[in-house]
Amino acid sequence: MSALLEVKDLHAGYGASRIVRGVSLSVEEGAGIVLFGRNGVGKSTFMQALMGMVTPSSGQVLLAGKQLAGRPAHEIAKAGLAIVPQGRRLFPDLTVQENLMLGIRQTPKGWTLDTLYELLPRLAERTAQPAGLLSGGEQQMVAIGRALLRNPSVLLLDEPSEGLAPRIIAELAGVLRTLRADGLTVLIVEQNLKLGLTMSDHVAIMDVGKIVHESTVTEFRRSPDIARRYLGVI
Amino acid sequence: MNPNMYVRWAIRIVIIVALALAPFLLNTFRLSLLSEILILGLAAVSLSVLVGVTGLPSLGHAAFYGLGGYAAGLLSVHATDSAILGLLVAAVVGIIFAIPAGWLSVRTTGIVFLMLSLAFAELLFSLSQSLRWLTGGSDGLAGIRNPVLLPGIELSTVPSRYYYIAAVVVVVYIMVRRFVDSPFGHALSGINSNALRMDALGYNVSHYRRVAYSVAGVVGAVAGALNVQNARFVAPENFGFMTSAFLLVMVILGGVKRLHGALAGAAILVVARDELSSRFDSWELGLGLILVLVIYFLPGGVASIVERIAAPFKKRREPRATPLGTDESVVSR
Repeated sequence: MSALLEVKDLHAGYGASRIVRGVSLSVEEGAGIVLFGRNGVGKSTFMQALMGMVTPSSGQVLLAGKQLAGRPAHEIAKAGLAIVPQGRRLFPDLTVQENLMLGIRQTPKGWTLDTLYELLPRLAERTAQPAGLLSGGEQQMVAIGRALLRNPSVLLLDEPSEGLAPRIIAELAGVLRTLRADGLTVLIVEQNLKLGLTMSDHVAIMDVGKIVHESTVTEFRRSPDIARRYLGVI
Repeated sequence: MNPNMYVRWAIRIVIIVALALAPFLLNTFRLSLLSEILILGLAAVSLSVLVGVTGLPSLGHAAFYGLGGYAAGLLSVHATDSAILGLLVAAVVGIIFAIPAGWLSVRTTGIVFLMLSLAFAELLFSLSQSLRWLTGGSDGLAGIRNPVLLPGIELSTVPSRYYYIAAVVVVVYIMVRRFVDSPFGHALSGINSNALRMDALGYNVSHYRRVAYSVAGVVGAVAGALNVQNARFVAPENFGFMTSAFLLVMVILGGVKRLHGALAGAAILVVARDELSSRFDSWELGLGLILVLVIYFLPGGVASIVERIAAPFKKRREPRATPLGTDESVVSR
Protein backbone atom coordinates (compact mmCIF):
# COMPACT_ATOMS: atom_id res chain seq x y z
CA MET A 1 0.00 0.00 0.00
CA SER A 2 1.39 3.46 -0.86
CA ALA A 3 2.06 6.07 1.82
CA LEU A 4 -0.69 8.67 2.14
CA LEU A 5 1.45 10.90 4.33
CA GLU A 6 5.19 10.80 3.85
CA VAL A 7 7.61 12.85 5.91
CA LYS A 8 11.21 13.00 4.70
CA ASP A 9 14.10 14.35 6.77
CA LEU A 10 12.01 17.07 8.41
CA HIS A 11 13.82 19.69 10.49
CA ALA A 12 12.00 22.33 12.55
CA GLY A 13 12.45 24.45 15.65
CA TYR A 14 12.04 27.84 17.23
CA GLY A 15 14.67 30.43 16.34
CA ALA A 16 18.08 28.93 16.94
CA SER A 17 16.63 25.93 18.81
CA ARG A 18 16.57 22.83 16.62
CA ILE A 19 13.79 20.64 18.02
CA VAL A 20 12.89 18.28 15.17
CA ARG A 21 16.13 16.93 13.68
CA GLY A 22 15.53 14.96 10.54
CA VAL A 23 12.32 13.00 11.08
CA SER A 24 11.22 10.60 8.36
CA LEU A 25 7.93 8.73 8.69
CA SER A 26 5.39 7.09 6.40
CA VAL A 27 1.70 6.76 7.15
CA GLU A 28 -0.24 4.47 4.85
CA GLU A 29 -3.86 5.07 3.98
CA GLY A 30 -6.12 3.66 6.69
CA ALA A 31 -3.21 3.12 9.07
CA GLY A 32 -2.91 4.25 12.66
CA ILE A 33 0.52 5.25 13.92
CA VAL A 34 1.21 6.20 17.50
CA LEU A 35 4.24 8.35 18.24
CA PHE A 36 5.64 7.87 21.72
CA GLY A 37 8.46 9.75 23.41
CA ARG A 38 9.46 11.37 26.65
CA ASN A 39 8.44 14.94 27.42
CA GLY A 40 10.39 17.53 25.47
CA VAL A 41 11.72 15.29 22.70
CA GLY A 42 9.91 17.27 20.00
CA LYS A 43 6.68 15.31 19.39
CA SER A 44 4.34 18.31 19.54
CA THR A 45 6.75 20.48 17.52
CA PHE A 46 6.81 17.71 14.90
CA MET A 47 2.99 17.69 14.75
CA GLN A 48 2.92 21.48 14.52
CA ALA A 49 5.51 21.40 11.75
CA LEU A 50 3.32 18.94 9.82
CA MET A 51 0.40 21.38 10.16
CA GLY A 52 2.50 24.42 9.21
CA MET A 53 2.04 25.96 12.65
CA VAL A 54 5.82 25.83 12.96
CA THR A 55 7.69 26.44 9.71
CA PRO A 56 10.08 23.59 8.90
CA SER A 57 13.65 24.66 8.14
CA SER A 58 14.10 21.78 5.70
CA GLY A 59 12.62 18.48 4.64
CA GLN A 60 9.46 17.32 2.92
CA VAL A 61 5.88 16.65 3.97
CA LEU A 62 4.00 14.88 1.18
CA LEU A 63 0.27 14.25 1.40
CA ALA A 64 -0.84 12.00 -1.46
CA GLY A 65 2.30 13.15 -3.26
CA LYS A 66 1.59 16.84 -2.78
CA GLN A 67 4.36 18.84 -1.11
CA LEU A 68 3.08 20.68 1.98
CA ALA A 69 6.25 21.66 3.90
CA GLY A 70 6.61 25.42 4.11
CA ARG A 71 3.01 26.10 3.01
CA PRO A 72 0.79 28.22 5.28
CA ALA A 73 -1.26 26.25 7.82
CA HIS A 74 -4.60 27.08 6.20
CA GLU A 75 -3.43 25.62 2.88
CA ILE A 76 -2.20 22.47 4.63
CA ALA A 77 -5.57 22.17 6.37
CA LYS A 78 -7.35 22.57 3.04
CA ALA A 79 -5.09 19.91 1.52
CA GLY A 80 -6.46 17.40 4.03
CA LEU A 81 -4.55 17.42 7.32
CA ALA A 82 -6.41 18.22 10.53
CA ILE A 83 -5.09 18.40 14.04
CA VAL A 84 -6.63 17.94 17.46
CA PRO A 85 -4.17 20.10 19.35
CA GLN A 86 -2.71 19.38 22.75
CA GLY A 87 -4.89 20.93 25.44
CA ARG A 88 -8.01 20.97 23.20
CA ARG A 89 -7.67 24.67 22.34
CA LEU A 90 -11.36 25.43 21.92
CA PHE A 91 -12.78 28.93 21.73
CA PRO A 92 -14.30 29.20 25.20
CA ASP A 93 -16.71 32.06 24.44
CA LEU A 94 -18.25 30.33 21.44
CA THR A 95 -20.91 27.66 21.91
CA VAL A 96 -20.31 23.98 21.20
CA GLN A 97 -22.09 24.25 17.86
CA GLU A 98 -20.22 27.43 16.90
CA ASN A 99 -16.91 25.74 17.73
CA LEU A 100 -17.86 22.75 15.63
CA MET A 101 -19.04 24.88 12.73
CA LEU A 102 -15.64 26.53 12.55
CA GLY A 103 -14.33 23.16 11.41
CA ILE A 104 -16.91 22.40 8.72
CA ARG A 105 -15.55 21.59 5.30
CA GLN A 106 -18.24 20.23 3.02
CA THR A 107 -17.42 17.08 1.11
CA PRO A 108 -19.84 14.87 -0.84
CA LYS A 109 -19.35 11.91 1.53
CA GLY A 110 -18.07 12.84 4.92
CA TRP A 111 -18.81 14.08 8.38
CA THR A 112 -21.69 16.47 8.92
CA LEU A 113 -23.03 17.93 12.14
CA ASP A 114 -25.79 15.31 12.14
CA THR A 115 -23.46 12.32 11.75
CA LEU A 116 -21.10 13.82 14.31
CA TYR A 117 -23.89 14.17 16.86
CA GLU A 118 -24.73 10.50 16.25
CA LEU A 119 -21.15 9.59 17.15
CA LEU A 120 -21.00 12.01 20.09
CA PRO A 121 -24.59 12.30 21.37
CA ARG A 122 -23.47 14.16 24.50
CA LEU A 123 -22.49 17.13 22.33
CA ALA A 124 -25.96 17.21 20.76
CA GLU A 125 -27.35 17.98 24.22
CA ARG A 126 -24.95 20.86 24.70
CA THR A 127 -24.98 22.65 21.36
CA ALA A 128 -25.85 26.06 22.85
CA GLN A 129 -23.49 25.87 25.82
CA PRO A 130 -20.26 27.90 25.77
CA ALA A 131 -17.36 25.52 25.19
CA GLY A 132 -15.48 27.03 28.12
CA LEU A 133 -18.12 25.65 30.52
CA LEU A 134 -17.71 22.03 29.37
CA SER A 135 -15.80 19.39 31.30
CA GLY A 136 -12.38 18.34 30.03
CA GLY A 137 -13.73 15.18 28.40
CA GLU A 138 -16.50 17.05 26.63
CA GLN A 139 -14.04 19.66 25.42
CA GLN A 140 -11.86 16.92 23.98
CA MET A 141 -14.88 15.51 22.14
CA VAL A 142 -15.59 18.97 20.67
CA ALA A 143 -11.95 19.28 19.60
CA ILE A 144 -12.12 15.86 17.91
CA GLY A 145 -15.49 16.70 16.36
CA ARG A 146 -14.17 20.00 15.01
CA ALA A 147 -11.24 18.21 13.37
CA LEU A 148 -13.49 15.46 11.95
CA LEU A 149 -15.81 18.04 10.37
CA ARG A 150 -12.86 19.10 8.25
CA ASN A 151 -13.16 15.63 6.73
CA PRO A 152 -9.40 15.17 6.73
CA SER A 153 -7.37 12.59 4.85
CA VAL A 154 -5.14 12.25 7.91
CA LEU A 155 -6.12 13.14 11.46
CA LEU A 156 -3.33 14.26 13.79
CA LEU A 157 -4.03 13.91 17.50
CA ASP A 158 -1.64 15.54 19.95
CA GLU A 159 -1.96 13.89 23.35
CA PRO A 160 -5.76 13.55 23.36
CA SER A 161 -5.84 11.88 26.80
CA GLU A 162 -3.88 14.62 28.54
CA GLY A 163 -5.53 15.70 31.78
CA LEU A 164 -8.49 13.30 31.48
CA ALA A 165 -9.70 10.82 34.07
CA PRO A 166 -9.26 7.08 33.32
CA ARG A 167 -13.00 6.57 32.88
CA ILE A 168 -13.09 9.35 30.32
CA ILE A 169 -10.05 7.99 28.51
CA ALA A 170 -11.90 4.69 28.09
CA GLU A 171 -14.77 6.57 26.48
CA LEU A 172 -12.35 8.52 24.30
CA ALA A 173 -10.66 5.27 23.25
CA GLY A 174 -14.05 3.89 22.19
CA VAL A 175 -14.67 6.89 19.95
CA LEU A 176 -11.19 6.73 18.43
CA ARG A 177 -11.48 2.98 17.79
CA THR A 178 -14.78 3.58 15.97
CA LEU A 179 -13.06 6.13 13.77
CA ARG A 180 -10.17 3.78 13.07
CA ALA A 181 -12.58 0.96 12.24
CA ASP A 182 -14.20 3.30 9.70
CA GLY A 183 -10.81 3.54 7.98
CA LEU A 184 -9.65 6.94 9.17
CA THR A 185 -5.90 7.46 8.84
CA VAL A 186 -4.53 8.63 12.18
CA LEU A 187 -1.19 9.82 13.53
CA ILE A 188 -1.40 10.15 17.28
CA VAL A 189 1.09 11.50 19.79
CA GLU A 190 0.32 9.98 23.17
CA GLN A 191 1.82 9.54 26.61
CA ASN A 192 -0.72 6.91 27.57
CA LEU A 193 0.75 3.65 26.23
CA LYS A 194 -2.45 1.67 26.59
CA LEU A 195 -4.58 4.14 24.67
CA GLY A 196 -1.91 4.64 22.00
CA LEU A 197 -1.43 0.94 21.40
CA THR A 198 -5.10 -0.02 21.33
CA MET A 199 -5.92 2.35 18.52
CA SER A 200 -2.82 1.93 16.33
CA ASP A 201 -1.17 -0.71 14.23
CA HIS A 202 2.27 0.90 14.08
CA VAL A 203 4.50 2.45 16.74
CA ALA A 204 7.19 5.07 16.33
CA ILE A 205 9.36 6.39 19.14
CA MET A 206 10.95 9.81 19.10
CA ASP A 207 14.02 10.79 21.06
CA VAL A 208 15.90 14.10 20.88
CA GLY A 209 14.12 15.17 17.71
CA LYS A 210 14.58 11.91 15.78
CA ILE A 211 12.65 8.69 15.19
CA VAL A 212 14.68 6.02 16.98
CA HIS A 213 12.31 3.08 16.66
CA GLU A 214 9.59 1.93 14.29
CA SER A 215 7.68 -1.31 14.43
CA THR A 216 4.24 -2.82 14.39
CA VAL A 217 2.28 -2.78 17.64
CA THR A 218 2.69 -6.57 17.91
CA GLU A 219 6.49 -6.31 17.62
CA PHE A 220 6.54 -3.47 20.14
CA ARG A 221 4.57 -5.51 22.65
CA ARG A 222 7.05 -8.36 22.26
CA SER A 223 10.03 -6.09 23.00
CA PRO A 224 9.59 -4.57 26.47
CA ASP A 225 13.24 -3.42 26.47
CA ILE A 226 12.40 -0.81 23.79
CA ALA A 227 9.78 0.85 25.99
CA ARG A 228 12.18 0.61 28.93
CA ARG A 229 15.08 2.16 27.02
CA TYR A 230 13.28 5.05 25.34
CA LEU A 231 10.24 5.70 27.47
CA GLY A 232 11.44 4.77 30.95
CA VAL A 233 8.59 2.31 31.35
CA ILE A 234 9.39 -0.50 33.78
CA MET B 1 -38.33 30.97 22.06
CA ASN B 2 -36.38 30.74 25.33
CA PRO B 3 -36.80 33.30 28.16
CA ASN B 4 -33.56 35.04 27.19
CA MET B 5 -34.95 35.76 23.75
CA TYR B 6 -38.09 37.32 25.24
CA VAL B 7 -35.93 39.62 27.36
CA ARG B 8 -33.79 40.55 24.37
CA TRP B 9 -36.79 41.32 22.19
CA ALA B 10 -38.34 43.36 25.00
CA ILE B 11 -35.14 45.42 25.31
CA ARG B 12 -35.02 45.94 21.55
CA ILE B 13 -38.63 47.10 21.43
CA VAL B 14 -38.09 49.49 24.37
CA ILE B 15 -35.04 50.99 22.61
CA ILE B 16 -36.90 51.44 19.31
CA VAL B 17 -39.90 53.03 21.07
CA ALA B 18 -37.61 55.30 23.11
CA LEU B 19 -35.78 56.39 19.95
CA ALA B 20 -39.11 57.06 18.23
CA LEU B 21 -40.43 59.11 21.16
CA ALA B 22 -37.21 61.05 21.81
CA PRO B 23 -38.19 64.15 19.74
CA PHE B 24 -41.33 64.49 21.90
CA LEU B 25 -39.43 64.13 25.17
CA LEU B 26 -36.21 66.06 24.56
CA ASN B 27 -35.60 69.68 23.70
CA THR B 28 -33.77 70.56 20.49
CA PHE B 29 -30.36 70.77 22.16
CA ARG B 30 -30.73 67.37 23.84
CA LEU B 31 -32.03 65.86 20.60
CA SER B 32 -28.92 67.16 18.81
CA LEU B 33 -26.81 65.49 21.48
CA LEU B 34 -28.68 62.23 20.95
CA SER B 35 -28.05 62.48 17.21
CA GLU B 36 -24.37 62.97 17.93
CA ILE B 37 -24.36 59.99 20.30
CA LEU B 38 -25.90 57.80 17.59
CA ILE B 39 -23.43 58.93 14.94
CA LEU B 40 -20.36 58.58 17.13
CA GLY B 41 -21.81 55.34 18.49
CA LEU B 42 -22.00 53.91 14.96
CA ALA B 43 -18.40 54.99 14.32
CA ALA B 44 -17.38 53.32 17.59
CA VAL B 45 -19.33 50.17 16.64
CA SER B 46 -17.33 50.02 13.41
CA LEU B 47 -14.11 50.37 15.41
CA SER B 48 -15.36 47.66 17.76
CA VAL B 49 -15.49 45.25 14.79
CA LEU B 50 -11.75 45.80 14.43
CA VAL B 51 -10.70 46.05 18.07
CA GLY B 52 -13.16 43.84 19.92
CA VAL B 53 -14.18 41.25 17.35
CA THR B 54 -11.03 40.87 15.24
CA GLY B 55 -8.41 41.94 17.77
CA LEU B 56 -6.78 44.66 15.69
CA PRO B 57 -6.23 47.76 17.86
CA SER B 58 -6.59 50.85 15.69
CA LEU B 59 -5.65 54.37 16.64
CA GLY B 60 -6.50 55.75 13.22
CA HIS B 61 -10.14 54.95 12.67
CA ALA B 62 -10.78 58.64 12.06
CA ALA B 63 -9.33 57.97 8.59
CA PHE B 64 -12.64 56.37 7.61
CA TYR B 65 -14.77 58.76 9.62
CA GLY B 66 -13.11 61.71 7.90
CA LEU B 67 -13.14 60.15 4.43
CA GLY B 68 -16.85 59.42 4.67
CA GLY B 69 -17.43 62.95 5.88
CA TYR B 70 -15.48 64.59 3.06
CA ALA B 71 -17.08 62.28 0.49
CA ALA B 72 -20.59 63.24 1.62
CA GLY B 73 -19.62 66.91 1.98
CA LEU B 74 -18.01 67.20 -1.46
CA LEU B 75 -20.97 65.39 -3.05
CA SER B 76 -23.34 67.85 -1.45
CA VAL B 77 -21.29 70.90 -2.50
CA HIS B 78 -20.56 69.82 -6.08
CA ALA B 79 -23.22 67.35 -7.17
CA THR B 80 -26.31 66.41 -5.23
CA ASP B 81 -27.78 66.84 -1.77
CA SER B 82 -29.34 63.37 -1.79
CA ALA B 83 -28.87 61.91 1.68
CA ILE B 84 -28.84 58.28 0.56
CA LEU B 85 -26.41 58.97 -2.30
CA GLY B 86 -24.18 60.70 0.23
CA LEU B 87 -24.09 57.54 2.35
CA LEU B 88 -23.48 55.31 -0.67
CA VAL B 89 -20.63 57.46 -1.99
CA ALA B 90 -19.08 57.55 1.49
CA ALA B 91 -19.30 53.76 1.69
CA VAL B 92 -17.66 53.38 -1.73
CA VAL B 93 -14.87 55.82 -0.82
CA GLY B 94 -14.43 53.94 2.46
CA ILE B 95 -13.94 50.63 0.72
CA ILE B 96 -11.66 52.11 -1.95
CA PHE B 97 -9.37 53.28 0.84
CA ALA B 98 -9.84 50.15 2.97
CA ILE B 99 -8.72 47.66 0.31
CA PRO B 100 -5.11 48.90 -0.15
CA ALA B 101 -4.80 50.13 3.45
CA GLY B 102 -6.10 46.80 4.75
CA TRP B 103 -3.80 44.87 2.42
CA LEU B 104 -0.84 46.71 3.93
CA SER B 105 -2.06 46.79 7.53
CA VAL B 106 -3.40 43.34 8.33
CA ARG B 107 -0.06 41.68 7.71
CA THR B 108 0.82 43.19 11.08
CA THR B 109 -0.86 43.02 14.46
CA GLY B 110 -0.58 44.70 17.86
CA ILE B 111 1.51 47.83 18.20
CA VAL B 112 2.69 47.80 14.56
CA PHE B 113 -0.91 47.71 13.31
CA LEU B 114 -1.76 50.47 15.76
CA MET B 115 1.05 52.71 14.46
CA LEU B 116 0.19 51.99 10.82
CA SER B 117 -3.44 52.92 11.43
CA LEU B 118 -2.29 56.15 13.08
CA ALA B 119 0.02 56.87 10.14
CA PHE B 120 -2.82 56.47 7.60
CA ALA B 121 -5.07 58.85 9.53
CA GLU B 122 -2.29 61.42 9.93
CA LEU B 123 -1.54 61.16 6.21
CA LEU B 124 -5.16 61.96 5.38
CA PHE B 125 -5.17 64.73 7.99
CA SER B 126 -2.20 66.37 6.24
CA LEU B 127 -3.74 65.87 2.80
CA SER B 128 -7.02 67.45 3.90
CA GLN B 129 -5.05 70.49 5.05
CA SER B 130 -2.85 70.81 1.99
CA LEU B 131 -5.46 70.15 -0.75
CA ARG B 132 -7.08 73.49 -0.06
CA TRP B 133 -8.71 73.72 -3.52
CA LEU B 134 -10.66 70.55 -2.80
CA THR B 135 -11.19 70.41 0.93
CA GLY B 136 -11.04 74.04 1.97
CA GLY B 137 -7.85 73.32 3.93
CA SER B 138 -7.81 74.00 7.65
CA ASP B 139 -10.88 76.25 7.29
CA GLY B 140 -12.93 73.19 6.47
CA LEU B 141 -15.43 72.57 3.69
CA ALA B 142 -18.22 75.10 3.63
CA GLY B 143 -21.41 75.23 1.62
CA ILE B 144 -22.75 71.80 2.49
CA ARG B 145 -26.51 71.81 2.02
CA ASN B 146 -29.23 70.19 4.06
CA PRO B 147 -29.57 66.56 3.01
CA VAL B 148 -32.64 65.63 1.01
CA LEU B 149 -34.14 62.23 1.78
CA LEU B 150 -36.52 62.07 -1.18
CA PRO B 151 -37.48 64.77 -3.70
CA GLY B 152 -39.30 67.39 -1.65
CA ILE B 153 -38.30 65.94 1.74
CA GLU B 154 -35.47 68.14 2.94
CA LEU B 155 -33.99 67.25 6.33
CA SER B 156 -33.81 70.85 7.47
CA THR B 157 -34.93 70.50 11.09
CA VAL B 158 -33.22 68.82 14.03
CA PRO B 159 -36.06 66.26 14.53
CA SER B 160 -36.17 65.31 10.84
CA ARG B 161 -32.41 64.80 10.74
CA TYR B 162 -32.61 62.90 14.03
CA TYR B 163 -35.16 60.41 12.62
CA TYR B 164 -33.03 59.94 9.51
CA ILE B 165 -29.87 59.37 11.63
CA ALA B 166 -31.63 57.03 14.05
CA ALA B 167 -33.05 54.96 11.19
CA VAL B 168 -29.67 54.66 9.44
CA VAL B 169 -27.86 53.82 12.69
CA VAL B 170 -30.41 51.15 13.66
CA VAL B 171 -30.34 49.52 10.21
CA VAL B 172 -26.53 49.59 9.92
CA TYR B 173 -26.12 48.36 13.50
CA ILE B 174 -28.40 45.38 12.80
CA MET B 175 -26.34 44.60 9.67
CA VAL B 176 -23.10 44.76 11.66
CA ARG B 177 -24.64 42.63 14.42
CA ARG B 178 -25.65 39.99 11.87
CA PHE B 179 -22.17 40.08 10.37
CA VAL B 180 -20.58 39.54 13.79
CA ASP B 181 -23.01 36.74 14.67
CA SER B 182 -22.52 34.97 11.32
CA PRO B 183 -20.07 32.07 10.84
CA PHE B 184 -17.72 34.66 9.32
CA GLY B 185 -17.95 36.72 12.52
CA HIS B 186 -17.32 33.62 14.62
CA ALA B 187 -14.21 32.98 12.56
CA LEU B 188 -13.09 36.54 13.33
CA SER B 189 -13.63 35.88 17.06
CA GLY B 190 -11.57 32.74 16.68
CA ILE B 191 -8.81 34.70 14.96
CA ASN B 192 -8.93 37.24 17.77
CA SER B 193 -8.63 34.44 20.30
CA ASN B 194 -5.88 32.49 18.53
CA ALA B 195 -4.93 33.25 14.93
CA LEU B 196 -2.56 30.28 14.58
CA ARG B 197 -5.28 27.86 15.68
CA MET B 198 -7.66 29.26 13.09
CA ASP B 199 -4.93 29.02 10.46
CA ALA B 200 -4.58 25.33 11.30
CA LEU B 201 -8.35 24.94 10.93
CA GLY B 202 -8.04 26.08 7.32
CA TYR B 203 -8.84 29.77 7.68
CA ASN B 204 -6.81 32.28 5.69
CA VAL B 205 -6.33 34.69 8.59
CA SER B 206 -5.12 37.63 6.46
CA HIS B 207 -8.15 37.36 4.18
CA TYR B 208 -10.54 37.38 7.14
CA ARG B 209 -8.77 40.35 8.71
CA ARG B 210 -8.88 42.25 5.40
CA VAL B 211 -12.63 41.72 5.12
CA ALA B 212 -13.14 42.83 8.74
CA TYR B 213 -10.99 45.89 8.07
CA SER B 214 -13.11 46.76 5.01
CA VAL B 215 -16.40 46.27 6.85
CA ALA B 216 -15.18 48.46 9.72
CA GLY B 217 -13.99 51.03 7.18
CA VAL B 218 -17.29 51.17 5.29
CA VAL B 219 -19.35 51.53 8.46
CA GLY B 220 -16.93 54.14 9.81
CA ALA B 221 -17.26 56.09 6.55
CA VAL B 222 -21.07 55.91 6.71
CA ALA B 223 -20.93 57.29 10.25
CA GLY B 224 -18.64 60.08 9.03
CA ALA B 225 -21.10 60.90 6.24
CA LEU B 226 -23.99 61.02 8.72
CA ASN B 227 -21.98 63.40 10.89
CA VAL B 228 -21.38 65.80 8.00
CA GLN B 229 -24.97 65.58 6.78
CA ASN B 230 -26.05 66.47 10.31
CA ALA B 231 -23.49 69.22 11.04
CA ARG B 232 -23.16 70.45 7.42
CA PHE B 233 -19.48 71.02 8.02
CA VAL B 234 -16.32 68.97 7.74
CA ALA B 235 -12.76 69.93 8.68
CA PRO B 236 -9.38 68.18 8.92
CA GLU B 237 -10.08 67.53 12.62
CA ASN B 238 -12.43 64.76 11.48
CA PHE B 239 -9.25 62.87 10.53
CA GLY B 240 -7.49 64.03 13.69
CA PHE B 241 -5.77 61.98 16.35
CA MET B 242 -8.28 63.13 18.98
CA THR B 243 -11.19 61.80 16.91
CA SER B 244 -9.49 58.39 16.68
CA ALA B 245 -8.58 58.46 20.36
CA PHE B 246 -12.14 59.36 21.44
CA LEU B 247 -13.55 56.53 19.31
CA LEU B 248 -11.17 54.10 21.00
CA VAL B 249 -12.12 55.50 24.42
CA MET B 250 -15.81 54.91 23.57
CA VAL B 251 -15.10 51.28 22.68
CA ILE B 252 -13.14 50.73 25.91
CA LEU B 253 -15.70 52.54 28.09
CA GLY B 254 -18.55 50.52 26.64
CA GLY B 255 -16.75 47.19 26.62
CA VAL B 256 -14.35 45.93 24.00
CA LYS B 257 -16.03 42.52 23.72
CA ARG B 258 -19.55 43.87 23.29
CA LEU B 259 -20.71 45.54 20.10
CA HIS B 260 -23.53 47.44 21.79
CA GLY B 261 -21.00 48.63 24.36
CA ALA B 262 -19.61 51.02 21.76
CA LEU B 263 -22.96 52.82 21.66
CA ALA B 264 -23.00 53.02 25.47
CA GLY B 265 -19.43 54.33 25.39
CA ALA B 266 -20.44 57.04 22.91
CA ALA B 267 -23.30 58.06 25.17
CA ILE B 268 -21.00 58.33 28.20
CA LEU B 269 -18.40 60.34 26.32
CA VAL B 270 -20.84 62.81 24.76
CA VAL B 271 -22.79 63.31 27.99
CA ALA B 272 -19.57 63.65 30.01
CA ARG B 273 -18.22 66.17 27.53
CA ASP B 274 -21.47 68.15 27.62
CA GLU B 275 -21.82 68.09 31.40
CA LEU B 276 -18.15 68.53 32.31
CA SER B 277 -17.14 71.11 29.71
CA SER B 278 -19.79 73.53 30.99
CA ARG B 279 -18.35 73.28 34.52
CA PHE B 280 -14.61 72.78 34.07
CA ASP B 281 -11.98 74.07 31.67
CA SER B 282 -10.34 70.66 31.27
CA TRP B 283 -13.24 68.30 30.79
CA GLU B 284 -10.84 65.67 29.43
CA LEU B 285 -9.51 65.35 32.98
CA GLY B 286 -12.92 64.15 34.14
CA LEU B 287 -13.16 61.80 31.15
CA GLY B 288 -9.76 60.36 32.05
CA LEU B 289 -10.97 59.74 35.58
CA ILE B 290 -14.10 57.97 34.31
CA LEU B 291 -11.93 55.85 32.00
CA VAL B 292 -9.61 54.84 34.84
CA LEU B 293 -12.56 53.94 37.08
CA VAL B 294 -14.25 51.88 34.36
CA ILE B 295 -11.04 50.00 33.49
CA TYR B 296 -10.34 49.35 37.17
CA PHE B 297 -13.80 48.39 38.39
CA LEU B 298 -15.53 47.29 35.18
CA PRO B 299 -12.92 45.67 32.95
CA GLY B 300 -15.71 44.44 30.69
CA GLY B 301 -16.97 48.00 30.18
CA VAL B 302 -20.27 49.53 31.25
CA ALA B 303 -22.14 47.10 28.98
CA SER B 304 -21.02 44.29 31.28
CA ILE B 305 -23.14 45.73 34.12
CA VAL B 306 -26.28 44.17 32.65
CA GLU B 307 -24.56 40.80 32.34
CA ARG B 308 -23.29 41.04 35.93
CA ILE B 309 -26.80 41.68 37.16
CA ALA B 310 -28.19 38.82 35.03
CA ALA B 311 -25.40 36.35 35.92
CA PRO B 312 -26.92 34.86 39.12
CA PHE B 313 -30.24 34.21 37.34
CA LYS B 314 -28.45 32.73 34.33
CA LYS B 315 -26.34 30.35 36.43
CA ARG B 316 -29.43 28.87 37.96
CA ARG B 317 -30.79 27.91 34.55
CA GLU B 318 -27.59 26.52 33.02
CA PRO B 319 -27.31 22.72 33.04
CA ARG B 320 -24.60 21.25 35.18
CA ALA B 321 -21.61 19.60 33.54
CA THR B 322 -22.17 15.87 33.14
CA PRO B 323 -19.78 13.37 34.67
CA LEU B 324 -18.10 13.00 31.27
CA GLY B 325 -14.63 14.32 31.96
CA THR B 326 -14.18 15.89 35.33
CA ASP B 327 -10.42 16.19 35.13
CA GLU B 328 -10.10 14.76 38.58
CA SER B 329 -6.87 12.93 37.97
CA VAL B 330 -4.01 12.49 35.61
CA VAL B 331 -3.99 9.22 33.79
CA SER B 332 -1.65 6.48 34.89
CA ARG B 333 0.10 4.42 32.32
